[in-house]
Amino acid sequence: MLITIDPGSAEPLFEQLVSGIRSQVIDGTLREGERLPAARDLADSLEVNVHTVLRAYQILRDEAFIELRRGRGAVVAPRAHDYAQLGADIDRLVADARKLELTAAALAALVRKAYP
Amino acid sequence: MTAKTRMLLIGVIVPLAIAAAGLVAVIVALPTLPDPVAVHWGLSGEADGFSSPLLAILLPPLVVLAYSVLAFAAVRGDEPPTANQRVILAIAPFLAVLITVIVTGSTVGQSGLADATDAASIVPLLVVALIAGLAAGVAGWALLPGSAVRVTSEPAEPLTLRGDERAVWMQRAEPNRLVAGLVISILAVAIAGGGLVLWAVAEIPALIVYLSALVVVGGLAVGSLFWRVTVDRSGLRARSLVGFPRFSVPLDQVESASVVDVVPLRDFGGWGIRFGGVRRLGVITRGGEAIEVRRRDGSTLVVSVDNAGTGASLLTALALRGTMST
Repeated sequence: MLITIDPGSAEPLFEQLVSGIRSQVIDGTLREGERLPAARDLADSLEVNVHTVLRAYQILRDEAFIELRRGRGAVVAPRAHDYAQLGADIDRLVADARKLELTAAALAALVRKAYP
Repeated sequence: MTAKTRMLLIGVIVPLAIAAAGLVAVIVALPTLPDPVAVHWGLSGEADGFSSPLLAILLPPLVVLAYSVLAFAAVRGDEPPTANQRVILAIAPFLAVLITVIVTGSTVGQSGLADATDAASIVPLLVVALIAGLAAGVAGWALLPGSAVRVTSEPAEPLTLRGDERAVWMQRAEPNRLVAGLVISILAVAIAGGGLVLWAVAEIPALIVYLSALVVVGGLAVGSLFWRVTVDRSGLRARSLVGFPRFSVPLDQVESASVVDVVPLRDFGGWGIRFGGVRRLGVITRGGEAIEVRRRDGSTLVVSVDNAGTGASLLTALALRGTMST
């Protein structure tokens, strides 16, 4: 599991953590049943507050990507969906956006707008 | 003759042939052997343990066969052997000669005796077996192809990190399901089987000693086969899941990080915490991709882990950033 966070980014740190972990569950780097590092260890490695990590873990639990179990910490949840198709769609979408010379931010804004 | 043929000949075929010759010798002598035969000798040189000749027939071939499986597994590809492979392969003829001369020799030596209690002292035979075994081992060692020169691996490309971006890579290192299942089932059988036997025949203290010894062995097995590997701003850490032992390479000690392909028996002589050459320590839980970190003092740490490329790239990037900022 590789997580990078950029303190200079406008995106809050906990959201960067959430999207970092979420994308690795979706692309299969993090497998079902795999235990995530203890919040304290992750916070220490990334020089962030432990509550930032806990907040990220709680959001991921609410999105059903991980389970938080007393004593066992955070565990990658069984996959409710198969993300292979979505991954392929995203690749195509990005390729199309590149062809149209759209930036990542512009594409993201379009996708966000498409949600009701 | 290719390197592989020669390695298989010395480590597998010749030892099996020696065991087979011993087997034939005992079977030929079988009609003239006393039953039971002497199988154990006291310190005074007098026979004090007896058993059916079946033991003398089966023991050497089974031991040699079991070791041959290990030696066979240690031969991979047609490359010259590493130091670890040489040791494993050269022990094969030593072991085959030693056990065949002792067991087969002492049994065949009893042919013509009416009663096995008259069996001659085993001491001269032990000396002969040890000398012959050592000679076979040394000959095997000398006849093996020359040791391989290790191919130096290319340092990993650094991961792209923006200015003050922080990064961490964490990965569990553990045996594949087969090895893990094997270790767990051996321990379970040892606990259940040995415990039951001791409970039936021995006092409670013996049972306690046995079970605590198993807990220690089990703890060591888990401790040396299950790890969490972390690469972050403080460098690389490999920590056993039981908390100890742990190995680390601080960022300012990292000379280079790369990905290597590890064959446990060939490169490290097995699994667990292993030496694989001079000042080259391995945390080896399985074969396949591994991170190799060279320290500035010239020593090396190798950790077998999935996605080793990502870990090595991050470590390279962080180490580069460290040198640039100082």
